[in-house]
Amino acid sequence: MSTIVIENLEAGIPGKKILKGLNLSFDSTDTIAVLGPNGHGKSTLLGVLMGNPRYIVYGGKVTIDGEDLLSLTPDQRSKKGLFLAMQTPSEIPGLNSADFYKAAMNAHREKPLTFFETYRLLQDAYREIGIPFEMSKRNLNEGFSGGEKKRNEILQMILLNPKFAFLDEIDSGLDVDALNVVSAAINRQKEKGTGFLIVSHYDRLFEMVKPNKTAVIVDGRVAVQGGPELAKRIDTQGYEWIKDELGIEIEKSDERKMNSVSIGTCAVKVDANGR
Amino acid sequence: MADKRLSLLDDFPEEATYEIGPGECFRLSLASLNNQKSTHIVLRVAENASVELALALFAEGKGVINIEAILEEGASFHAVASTIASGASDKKVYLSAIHEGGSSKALVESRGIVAGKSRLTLSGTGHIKHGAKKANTRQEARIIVFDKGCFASASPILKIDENDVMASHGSAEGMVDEQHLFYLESRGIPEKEARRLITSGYLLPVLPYFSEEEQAKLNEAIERNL
Ligand SMILES: Nc1ncnc2c1ncn2[C@@H]1O[C@H](COP(=O)(O)OP(=O)(O)OP(=O)(O)O)[C@@H](O)[C@H]1O
Ligand SMILES: [Mg+2]
Repeated sequence: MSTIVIENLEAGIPGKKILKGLNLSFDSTDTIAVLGPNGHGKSTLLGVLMGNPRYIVYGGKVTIDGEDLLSLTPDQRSKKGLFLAMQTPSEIPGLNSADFYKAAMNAHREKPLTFFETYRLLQDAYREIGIPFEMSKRNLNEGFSGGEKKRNEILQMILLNPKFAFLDEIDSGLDVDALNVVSAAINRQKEKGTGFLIVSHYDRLFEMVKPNKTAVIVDGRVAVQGGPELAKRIDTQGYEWIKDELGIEIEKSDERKMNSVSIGTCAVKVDANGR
Repeated sequence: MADKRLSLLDDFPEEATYEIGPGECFRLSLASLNNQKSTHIVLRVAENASVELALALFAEGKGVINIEAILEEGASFHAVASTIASGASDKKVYLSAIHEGGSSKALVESRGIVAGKSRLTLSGTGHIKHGAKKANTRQEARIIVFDKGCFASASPILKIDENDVMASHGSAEGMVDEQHLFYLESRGIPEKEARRLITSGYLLPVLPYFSEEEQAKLNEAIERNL
């Protein structure tokens, strides 16, 4: 079993803290439903854990089995067993999908896979997520539909067999069949001993993958934690009650936007010749 | 209709003029693998003749590559160029189409990668002369910049002396997309290899213009120089 401990994590983009002292610990036996209103820092958390250069860490600590995580490069984190399925995976022109998967799998191995081994692993994984093997010849994510991109992320999870998988809205844009395929793949991966942080706004996925815990992120902190019943409650009642019961203010994301652009508005006026 | 092919690896003429007769088709493939030389080539493309030019300039070094196609009535010119300027290279690649005759067509697609302390200019002129009605010319140049200390200029030029024509150009210089790199790295691929995977894809369009044997050498040169 592996453990990740996040202590007082402060992170964001240049000039703006998005995570404001976030604490969370979990094991590779956990499947955590991560919820929270739009724009409160869920994707930021997953991006910071994986080492996305878009984000800056301002303070705090993250360890995996006692070892510092934040000083590692993304590829080193991947080799430690971390995996992130992105909310919007990049399209990479000119990079053949199969070549990429092969390079990724080999990066995790001492001895490179033979042609035959690669072929077998890829073919099995494509079958598992129900997209035609032919797609492996296409450029990575280029022109893929929203649902195909998401399945492709799960395909990579299967190929890399991580200790921890962070899934960012993996269910958005999936049709009913795809949702079944993806949740079946998650459940099989759980049996292999992978721990999950699953960000989603819909209870449908949680119904199928049965998280054992829930963490609610409000304004860059874990505001409430609980068992699976907490996710259920948010699904039916929303976030308002958190404010009433726990006294935590929740700014709506549109109010947040208005606040943050107020300085920009002046600048725009100057730029646009007084218009 | 004659179909001529000429493939030169590392051994460019310092100066040369090729005459392509009416209706002929000429394929010229040039590659620098181990050393970069300068060259000035003029292609005289007669009525309804066509030229396919492929350039793979991968060797480290200094050089000015200047290739001009002079197009008569109905002639066509298609150029695909991939350049790596790595180490301490200084390369200037000018690919020009001079439209003397009407209904002549030109498409120039030039791509480059500049790394280390290198300098790279991708330029050329699409020149439509007076009287070359219905001529069509397009100039594209794109450079990916690897390191901060590089110099890159993607600057194709259009000169149009006639009204009834189509002409366009596009150019871009940029770093390897940080999010693309992150995506590959997050799958365990180290930064260096991630860059190589992303950019070699970018250079590939030139390969099919070379024989299989030559392609193997080109791939080797890409590995060596990226
Ligand atoms: N590059 C950026 N420039 C400005 N603001 C940014 C940038 N990146 C993120 N933010 C802001 O940071 C906040 C947190 O974003 P984040 O993506 O983590 O939210 P989220 O909880 O994942 O939301 P959602 O449920 O909508 O996916 C948002 O207000 C967002 O607009
Ligand atoms: Mg998000």
